[in-house]
Amino acid sequence: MGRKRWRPQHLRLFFVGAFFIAAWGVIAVKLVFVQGVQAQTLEDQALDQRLRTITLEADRGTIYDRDGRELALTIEATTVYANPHEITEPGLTAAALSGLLGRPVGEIQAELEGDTSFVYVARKLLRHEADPIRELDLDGIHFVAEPKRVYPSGNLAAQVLGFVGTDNGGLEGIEHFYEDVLAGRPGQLIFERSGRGRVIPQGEYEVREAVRGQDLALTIDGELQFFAQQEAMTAREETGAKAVHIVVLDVTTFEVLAMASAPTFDPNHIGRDSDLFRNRVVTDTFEPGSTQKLITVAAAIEEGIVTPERIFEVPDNIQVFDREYFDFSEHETQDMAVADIVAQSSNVGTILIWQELGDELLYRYLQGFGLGTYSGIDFPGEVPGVLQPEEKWCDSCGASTSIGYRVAVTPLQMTSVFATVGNDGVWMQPRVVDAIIEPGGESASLNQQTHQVLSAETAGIMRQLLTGVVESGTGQLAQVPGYSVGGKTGTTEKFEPDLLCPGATVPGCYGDDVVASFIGIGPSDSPRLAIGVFVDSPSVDKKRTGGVTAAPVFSRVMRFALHQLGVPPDAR
Amino acid sequence: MAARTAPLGIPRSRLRVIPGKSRNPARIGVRQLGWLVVAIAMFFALIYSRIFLDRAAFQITNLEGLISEQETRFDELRLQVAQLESPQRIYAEAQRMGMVLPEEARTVSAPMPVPADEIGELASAGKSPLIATVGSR
Repeated sequence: MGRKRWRPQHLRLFFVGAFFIAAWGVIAVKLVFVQGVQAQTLEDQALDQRLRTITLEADRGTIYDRDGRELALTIEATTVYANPHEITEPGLTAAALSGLLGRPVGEIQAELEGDTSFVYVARKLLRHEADPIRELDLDGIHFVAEPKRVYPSGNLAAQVLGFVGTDNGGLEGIEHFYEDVLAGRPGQLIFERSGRGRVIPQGEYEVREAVRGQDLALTIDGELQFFAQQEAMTAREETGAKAVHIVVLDVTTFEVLAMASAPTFDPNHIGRDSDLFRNRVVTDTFEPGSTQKLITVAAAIEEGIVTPERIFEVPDNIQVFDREYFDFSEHETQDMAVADIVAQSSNVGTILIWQELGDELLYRYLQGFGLGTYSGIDFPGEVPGVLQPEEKWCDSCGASTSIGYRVAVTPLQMTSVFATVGNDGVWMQPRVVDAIIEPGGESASLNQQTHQVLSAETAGIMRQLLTGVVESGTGQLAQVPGYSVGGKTGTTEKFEPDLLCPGATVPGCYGDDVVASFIGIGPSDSPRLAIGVFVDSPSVDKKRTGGVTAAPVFSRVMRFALHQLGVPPDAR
Repeated sequence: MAARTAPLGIPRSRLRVIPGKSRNPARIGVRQLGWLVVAIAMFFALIYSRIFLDRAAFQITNLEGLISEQETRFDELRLQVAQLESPQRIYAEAQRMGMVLPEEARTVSAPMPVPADEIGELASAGKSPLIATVGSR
């Protein structure tokens, strides 16, 4: 059999054929790979390139006062931004914007000349502010809608409400504490777009609706809050005090009706002084002084150690171990009933009662009234105050504590003590949020802790003693026309941790500054309100005691509050 | 009938007319005409539907813009109402009008309603069955 010989043209044909077969083979394999193995991945990648997701911001919940007045709400505002690459004459554009935005031309121009394609020009303008800019029709200036948090009543309850940051997240106050409730859940808008960025009609289009935040109904009474703020500001001006704080509690529910501090701030235009943002009613402490005598006396009466009529022989000073204590004014040794000791705010008399009460019982009642622990109010930054464990007390510590020293309390804690007396001896967890309102309008109330500190009988006796303070004692300027009210004055020297006492080597001494306070309840027979007024470091000499400085403020706020609540006069 | 030119290179004298049946152009039947009309109608319907969709999309965009504008307006009115209701403004307005806070509270106490059978007696005596008393303390 002869061997077939390959001619050159056959060989060429073979190679060309083989090349095409191989080429088609490679294409076929790639095709199978692309259409089969990688199909889903590539499809997803292509879709990803075409899909665009826009986050839909959830509307933040509204905060109402107890009467349904809007204290904080979210509205749609306009943010102005620029693409510097689209701006041919930054100087002219900056000059045009400067007058409308109230910003220097140079500052805006520097931003518009930056090597970037996005720069904020002004954020969250209201329509009447944004429209004039829109009308200029400037090249490279664009507009986008953004939610804006506004506080229509300005500084009303500013330290209670707090404020939000530029991203609408709560930074202070209720806005911060209830962030999870108020913020809601953002949604998404997903759509397909072409290479030129246009929406592809009938392409993928999905809207995942944002869930609006829940609303909050506060226990704050807007009008009472306003009045308390006005009084705090006036008192600060009149006394030259560093600050004035006023707390109003409903004694039957421990709802905070007003929590005012002066100075304050406007959450619509927050400045740089972060000290103003703090709600000092729950974040700052002071030594309560004479207002705490209420606890010492109440404990002694509750334990059956004394009665209001029990007479003590009271000198104007007393030595307890290494310390000597004095009454506010000099007097001869005199017989004083317990009621008189409270009415005249006698330090020595109270220490005599403590000597019969003892440290252990005093400590137990201080704890019972909520001193040294968090009140549990739904507010951020609350401090528990200072109450040293009884086993760490020195020999004279009980005496100091019985008249309100060596203890640090917040204005809210101390007002709660008086509210407990007004509430027949039942302490309740104070609260500032009444209800969380669901989008459908249903509201959820919050749990509240309570415990009995005094019997109703002892609480009643204490109310009579407190009424005596106002009728004939140190708190006569707290009287409210038409109503019987009770309360207790307090004037406490402020402990300065950095001050060096004469002859001492370790810093820490009582300075010249005082906290003048008055806390009371009204009406005395059937209390509705407990109000605390705290004047921090009054500088006017004649206005440095609680009875002179804080009591008149208490009187005015109590009168307004009782009228506001429609409480009929009860004075005999 | 369309004229045909003679192929190149063939003398014209050798060309002749071939007798026989003339070829008629293909006739379009009624059915085919119907399909054609349907196809054209569908084509226009498709175009119209696209135009309709685009117009609707345009209207939706317009309406969305309008809604957004009205929502902004609503928000601003809501803000305005809240500002007008704020205690600061009302207090300032009240002061401007010369109003002051009352020094003392006056109570108005209404007696319990008089039983129906006594109303006649009171009426005959010239007395009102509900007399509010105003007192101050």
